[in-house]
Amino acid sequence: MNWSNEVKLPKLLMAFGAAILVSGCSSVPSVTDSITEVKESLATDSLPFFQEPKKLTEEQVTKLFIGNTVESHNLNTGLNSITYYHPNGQAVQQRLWSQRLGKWAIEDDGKICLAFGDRSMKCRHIIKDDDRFFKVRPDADGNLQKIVRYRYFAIGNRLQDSH
Amino acid sequence: MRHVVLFTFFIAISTAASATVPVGTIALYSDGRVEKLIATEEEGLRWEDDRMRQFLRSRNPVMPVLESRQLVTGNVYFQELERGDPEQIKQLPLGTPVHFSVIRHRDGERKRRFWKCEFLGSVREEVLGEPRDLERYQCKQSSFTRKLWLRIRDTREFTFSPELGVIVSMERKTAKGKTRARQLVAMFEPGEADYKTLSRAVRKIREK
Repeated sequence: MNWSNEVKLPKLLMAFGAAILVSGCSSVPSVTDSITEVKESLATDSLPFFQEPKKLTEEQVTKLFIGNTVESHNLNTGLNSITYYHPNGQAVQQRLWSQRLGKWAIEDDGKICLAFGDRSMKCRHIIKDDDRFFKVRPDADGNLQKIVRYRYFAIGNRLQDSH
Repeated sequence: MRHVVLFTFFIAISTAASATVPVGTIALYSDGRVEKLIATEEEGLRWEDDRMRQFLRSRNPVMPVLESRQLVTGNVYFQELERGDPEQIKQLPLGTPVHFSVIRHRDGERKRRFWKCEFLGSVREEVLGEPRDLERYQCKQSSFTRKLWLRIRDTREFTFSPELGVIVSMERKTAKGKTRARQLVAMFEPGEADYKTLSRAVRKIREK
C-alpha cells in the first residue's frame, strides 16, 4: 500500500461505472434520495427483533456509494477515511491528510470490493443496522462482524476541497 | 492543574509574543482528536480535523469557535460577537469575569449564547517536553430556556499556551453532569510525520 500523491492509476475500469458516465451526471439521483430509498427498502419494523441485519443488494450498494464521497470510521483502528468512488471504477481515499488511489467493484451479491496500491481486492458485504450502515466480514464462527461504520454519504467528490 | 504528559515528539517553536505554530502543524490530543493547522487568517487560526471538519478559532481563547465548516456534509455555522468585549479579560483584576454574548448562525437560524469567562492567572508547566507559560481560564456558556430561565449549558476550565496558540488542556462539564477532558499530547511540525508515523500515533490513542 502506498500512501502518497503519486500512486499509479489502476488500469481496470468497470463497465458499470462507464455506463453511469455515459448516461451523464445529471441522471444520478441525489444521495439523500438514494439513502432514503435504500433505508425504506430495508425497513425491519415488521421483523422479529432477532432478525439479522439485511445485507445490501448490488443495486443498493451502487446507489449509496458510486459517484459519492463516503466518510467512514474503522471500528478496529479508530481511523477515519473519506473515500470518493468515481463512476469510472477509481477510488480516491484520504486518511490523516494523505491520499491514495485505488479501485472499486461491486459483485452480484452486493459485496463491495476495494483495493489500493498493489494490494488485491477485498470484498465485503454492507449491512444496515439500526438506521446505520456498516461494512462486515465473517468472524471465525461465521457470524457477521462489523468492521467499518459509515457516517455520511455526500454527492460528488468532496476531496477536491481538502488541504 | 494537571501536568501535560508528553510522548517522544517535539517541535521547535518561535517564542515571539503572538507566536503560533506554522501552517501544516498537526496537533494530537488525548481523546484521539487530531487537527492540522491549514491557514492563519485575520480573524484567527483555521484548523481541520481528520474528518475534514474545519474550525476557525479566534486568537482569544475564550471566544467560541468563529466558524465550523464540514466539508463532507456541507454543514456550516458562524458565530459572531454580539455584545461585550472578551478582549478585556486579561486587563481586568484576576478573577473578574467578562460577560459577552454571541450569535450563532446556522441554516438561516440565529441562536444567542451568553458567556461568562474569567482569567484565573498564569502558570508555568511542562507542555510537549518544555516548560511553557500558560494561561488558565474558566468559562460558562448559558442560554435562555423557552420559559426564559437562563440556564448554564456547560462549564469549561482550560489552559492556553500563547506560544503554541492552542488550548493545551480542557475539562468541560455539561449541565447534565457529563464531563469530558482532553490534553495536547503531541505536535508534529509540517512534514515531520509521514502517514505511517501519524497513523501509529493516532491509533495508539484511539485503540485504547
